[in-house]
Amino acid sequence: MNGMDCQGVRRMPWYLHPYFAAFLSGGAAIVSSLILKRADPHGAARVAAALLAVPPTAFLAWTFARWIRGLDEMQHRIVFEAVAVAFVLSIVGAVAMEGLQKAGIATGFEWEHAWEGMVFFYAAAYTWTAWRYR
Amino acid sequence: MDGVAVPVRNRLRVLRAERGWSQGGLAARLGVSRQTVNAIETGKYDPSLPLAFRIAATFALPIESIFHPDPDGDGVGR
Repeated sequence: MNGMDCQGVRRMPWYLHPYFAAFLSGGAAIVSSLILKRADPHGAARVAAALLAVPPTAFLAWTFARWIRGLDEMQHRIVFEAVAVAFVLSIVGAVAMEGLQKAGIATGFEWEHAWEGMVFFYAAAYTWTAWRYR
Repeated sequence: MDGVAVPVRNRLRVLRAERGWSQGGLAARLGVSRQTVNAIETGKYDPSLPLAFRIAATFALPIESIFHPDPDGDGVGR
């Protein structure tokens, strides 16, 4: 019915699924890191290697938005409640890490840890929000 | 008016059982997930107006015979 299965989710090809896009994005980030560390390119090649993960991550954002558009109204609410909770937790976490860095305590904190934290907060918030509506 | 939302009770589970439909079967008729049907039946989620109208049309009943205010607040039909 309308291309939806009994779960009310529009069927999507595997290559358009956010999980596959996340795999591509994560893989590109790893490859980028390896190239920069082992090959140590220069000039334009170095910039290209540094930005290698950007196109698959943009693709991930597109597949995620496409996935959200295929959800029903309650699933929309679950996703957006999870995003709202994750957003707030990320701000609180960032403020905490900023303070700890200024105090010289969390000196190993980098930008990459910020988005890893955001992904973790979203996954935790989504799990909790979906449980509330079980 | 104090602006406080009034919980809504529904008879979805009873009506579904009368027709011998599963939650998945009703979900397919409504174009939503089985999880959504379950959440409506257990009072954890109130459907939007368009979905409420689709539910009423599916059961061929007026909306008021399916959904009504729940002064006790548990949201489940009795």
